[in-house]
Amino acid sequence: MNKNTPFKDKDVLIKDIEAFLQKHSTLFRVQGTRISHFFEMNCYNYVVKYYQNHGFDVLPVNLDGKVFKYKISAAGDPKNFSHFLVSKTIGAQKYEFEIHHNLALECAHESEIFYTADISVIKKTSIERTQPSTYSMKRSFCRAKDLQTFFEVKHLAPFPELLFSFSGIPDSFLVISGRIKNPKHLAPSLLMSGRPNFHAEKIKKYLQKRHSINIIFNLFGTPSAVYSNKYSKRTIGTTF
Amino acid sequence: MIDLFTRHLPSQVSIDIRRQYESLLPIFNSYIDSENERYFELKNDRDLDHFILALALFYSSVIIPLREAGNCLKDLRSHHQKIQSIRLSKFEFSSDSANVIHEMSVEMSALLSQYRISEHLLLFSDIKNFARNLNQYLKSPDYE
Repeated sequence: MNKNTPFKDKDVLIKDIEAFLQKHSTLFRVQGTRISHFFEMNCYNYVVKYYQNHGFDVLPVNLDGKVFKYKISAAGDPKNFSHFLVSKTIGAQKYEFEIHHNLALECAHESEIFYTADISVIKKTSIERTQPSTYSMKRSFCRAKDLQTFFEVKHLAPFPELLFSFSGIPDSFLVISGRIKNPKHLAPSLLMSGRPNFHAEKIKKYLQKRHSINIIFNLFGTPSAVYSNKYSKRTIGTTF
Repeated sequence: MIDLFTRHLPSQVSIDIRRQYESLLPIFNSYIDSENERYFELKNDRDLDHFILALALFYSSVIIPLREAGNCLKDLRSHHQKIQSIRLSKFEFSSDSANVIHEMSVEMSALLSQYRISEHLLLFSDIKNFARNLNQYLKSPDYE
């Protein structure tokens, strides 16, 4: 029996990988352009999984025939896109929330100023469509009182400016006081595909200690970090 | 080494992977050059080390997001069997697209398993752990 390592045949490995890449080159070239959208879509799916793992019934609604339509930009009326309805009964009370993609949220402290979160969880049927006086057209949005939590998705490597700027957003858009303890939602979270360096890890620890937020890195490596209980995360209660 | 993996990719993805590779390479080389026995096996073949690093970046930046997109459609269908595809702007991600990705992903897994390269090695969060795990992997014997 010869002692060997798989890499006595390094050239064979490289040749095999090269053949694999060549064989699937069209797939990589075509679908590769959508990786950023896929990442957003995957993160949305992870948020739905979080609710499913925490005892909620989850249901895709507003389908276009047999198609689930993701809203991948801030433009467009949410009623023309699909979303998830998640519901849970605690005691005699049934709680129902909607999970939306790219929905405008109104500031908690100043009317008619908005921010579009990549993913937001809101009270069922709380989207309003009006024409704010400062806008030339109608827009759909959710008021802060109905917003449960939100997520920012970045297909990027973490850098300090981004981490610090995210930490300020919840203060302007989320109502914290008066929330009931259950059901629980993930606290506002920044979901990133990139790997952190030592500095980014240190900033994350500091910001999570200082604010009620989650910063989750390297999601391609550990997608379950969003929805699995194995990874500890901050949560917030429900506005009611 | 990274060229092999980026030549078939759209420019933005290719740039992103190259940036990752170029920023990690100096740190990775410092582990290879160190006298610490935890990295001793890395000294045998620097080209191979670099190749596995490039493979890891390609795997986490291309294979995983594509595979997860396929899983996303599967998950949606588990909630509602009627759903046949996902629309992202003008692009429709159908079962056919998901099947093509699935076949590619299965083939990649078979290739990795043939060379006993674990997903754990490729999906590193820290380059130091990658260097240690690669060293451990290169040390592990394979009997023929």
